[in-house]
Amino acid sequence: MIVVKNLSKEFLVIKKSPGFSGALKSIFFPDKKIVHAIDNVSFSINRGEIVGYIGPNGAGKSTTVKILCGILHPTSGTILINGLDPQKKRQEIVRNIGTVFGQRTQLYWDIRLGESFELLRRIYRIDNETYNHNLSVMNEMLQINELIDIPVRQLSLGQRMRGDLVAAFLHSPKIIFLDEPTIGLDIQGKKSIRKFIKNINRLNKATIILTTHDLDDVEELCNRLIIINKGRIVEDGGLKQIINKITPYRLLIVDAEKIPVNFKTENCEIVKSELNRIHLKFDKNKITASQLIAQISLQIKIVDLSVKESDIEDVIENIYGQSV
Amino acid sequence: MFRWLKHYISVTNCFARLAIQRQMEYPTFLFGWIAGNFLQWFGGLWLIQTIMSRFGDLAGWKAEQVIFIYSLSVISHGLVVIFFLQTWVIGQMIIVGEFDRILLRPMDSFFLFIVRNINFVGITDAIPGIIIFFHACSLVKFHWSFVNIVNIGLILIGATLIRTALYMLVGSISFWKINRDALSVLMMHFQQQATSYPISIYPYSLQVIFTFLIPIGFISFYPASQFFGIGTILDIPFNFSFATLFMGVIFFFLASYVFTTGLKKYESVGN
Amino acid sequence: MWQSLKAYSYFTKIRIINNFAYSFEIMARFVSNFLVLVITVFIWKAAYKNNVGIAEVNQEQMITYSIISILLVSIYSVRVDRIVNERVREGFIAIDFMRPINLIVGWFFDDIGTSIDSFLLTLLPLLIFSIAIIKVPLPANLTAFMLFLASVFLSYLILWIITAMTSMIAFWFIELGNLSFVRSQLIRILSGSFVPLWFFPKVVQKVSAFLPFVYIYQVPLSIYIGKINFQQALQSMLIQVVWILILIFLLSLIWKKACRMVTVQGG
Repeated sequence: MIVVKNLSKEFLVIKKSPGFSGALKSIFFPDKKIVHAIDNVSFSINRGEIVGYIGPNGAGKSTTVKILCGILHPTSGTILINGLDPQKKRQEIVRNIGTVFGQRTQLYWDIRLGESFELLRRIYRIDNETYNHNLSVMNEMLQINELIDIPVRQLSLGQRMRGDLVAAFLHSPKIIFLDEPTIGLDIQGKKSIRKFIKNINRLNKATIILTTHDLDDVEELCNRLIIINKGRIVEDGGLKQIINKITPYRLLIVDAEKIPVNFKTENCEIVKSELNRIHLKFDKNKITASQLIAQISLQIKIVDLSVKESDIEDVIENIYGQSV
Repeated sequence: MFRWLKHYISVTNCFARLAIQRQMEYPTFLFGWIAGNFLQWFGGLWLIQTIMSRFGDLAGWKAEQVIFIYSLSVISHGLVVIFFLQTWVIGQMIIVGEFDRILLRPMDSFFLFIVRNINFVGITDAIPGIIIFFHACSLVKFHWSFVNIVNIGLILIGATLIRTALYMLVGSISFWKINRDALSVLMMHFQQQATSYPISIYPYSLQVIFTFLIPIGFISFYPASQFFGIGTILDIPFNFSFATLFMGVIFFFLASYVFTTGLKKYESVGN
Repeated sequence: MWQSLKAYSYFTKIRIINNFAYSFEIMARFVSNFLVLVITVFIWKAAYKNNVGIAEVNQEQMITYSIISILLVSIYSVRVDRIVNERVREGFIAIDFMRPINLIVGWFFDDIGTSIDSFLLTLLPLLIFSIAIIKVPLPANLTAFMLFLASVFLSYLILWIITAMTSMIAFWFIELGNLSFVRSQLIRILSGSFVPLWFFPKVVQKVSAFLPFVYIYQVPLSIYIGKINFQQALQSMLIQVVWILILIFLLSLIWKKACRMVTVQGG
């Protein structure tokens, strides 16, 4: 479906120096520098997958997305989308692509929502049957009919996002890029949009590529993650698999009557120690929880305890932490 | 082919409808534009009349003839504002990422760029121009023959294309050098000043530039000179209304080529 | 006093640095003014060609008048209307009001920044070009030159306050923001920036003597080319000062109303 091989993209940027002299200098002697936004990236995505494409700001996420849509041409490398090169066959590729950019709407700001859909219907030459069918299916999930006569500028952020999602899926695209689709929404809004994405993926067998900073999105939606940092792919695999690999530890939180000052254990690390609570991090490949508990109970009197699995948040923290 | 044409026409119609609806949402905006544009164009007329009544003539052109030039200039300006206003804001469109959106559509990018905005408020520019044109016509005793009416139509189309082409050429610089359309504002002031008076007031070298390189002479000066039978540096036995249309089409194609090249550059570099 | 001046001058500094970031625009502005200058010179040359007997001013004076006028236009780049409109439209104005400064003074110093860099990068090169190539003369004597500079400063104040005042419409009617376009057209016609008012019919001249517009361009320019003498110059500048006082009074009235509006409705 999507095959990317050795993709690289370089940009020329002009560095600015501070202050008056810096401003003057950059007029006459601009300081140019080559930046590798994407550096030798390869991956392939199959039909119907929901892939989370995540990484810190400036990691090269949106550059990759633009290249995949054919908006931006790569410096080197090959891309095939349904066997076609988006650089050469842009119009054919984008006919089957839908996009949502959470920060930037594609809807017409001043007029009723329905008009934006009418325009898309003409641009994508959607026949009446498909159009009505798609609208009614999405109405069931997003209750779009109640918004269709309201000018977009009067919609709340969540309502507008519903409109943007409908706009992206109207022409039954086979590939959808969602860039921060839940940004700025309340919990309820986020939930309904996640539910929609899940359903439409099951219904249409559409491939969805999701870039987001919201890790709840990732945990709920993505069966696969591609993590990118500084233009390079750091990890590519299933969610569980990545967590096991990057952060194969668990956290044991023990409440005790009193923690002795000279408390010490083997095979684990004391993350935090309070008066009568202690946080222990341990590698689950080296020691099991029960072994550790047995070991501790020799030294202190346990009142209560809990075990916490590491999650995607720990993974991200781990990876981003290295990049700083 | 027919299916293709139908598709593009239906999209054009839809864009036009949305543009009207969008502008109808803010009816009070119209007041400002009516007041401002009427003041601007009738004020300009008044300034020309003031100068001409004091000085008598300008390089052999009488007051009413200069007003005729001026009216052609204002109408064609109004037509640009109605149909091609987006050619003034290419730099802004790049900065906010509008071209990303255009490139995401399965249609020709240049076509989408041209039809995406039809600015009916531009009528507030065209109407003063038309009024001044009829005023000038009665002053110069314009002969309303069928041929002359056709000529005026061709001239206005050609003049609008020339103006648009020039805006598109300077606007396309934004694809190479990111900027906030400063040159478009310059282009507007320049066109307005240079097409309101006969270009025969300039030295020969400037006249040549304004004829072949930046062909603003064809917007108002050359057509008017033919109606009045006034000699110019371009003494060819040629109908100037066709010449204007010809120059308009040539320069429009040239500009669209530069625009498309710029868009390709945008695709390779981004913004 | 000194402390607060330092704070406000920071607006100026930031604006200058900001403008420098758009080197292309600085260049475009220069080219733009240069072209308009050339065109205007040829228009007047053509007008004077067969008319030696124009009583008001001779050709050299008229060309000097319009060149200096274009130079003034280049440094009179007042943007306060755009700033106010933008801040109100995007709803930032309420936040601006929380800053511990007088906003109007801040905006003024912001515009001064634009004028300073226009002075350095547009006016000076154009002036050198005009003196060297077109042989534009300087004012007749040092007194006239000093009077001219003082009058330019007063003109700028008048223009700035009028612009600020009309921009406040945005506080009440955001959709009438384009009325600033009407204002700039009025100024273009009635300030004598392109065609001096002495070519206008007598009635118009009399009426505009009671309007502030003519004191924006025509007064300093007349001083420069020696159209009015020392006595008349002082008189005109006195009227400029009176207009400034009247306009400041009006501006403060409108400003107070606007402040109340924003603090009550939260922008």
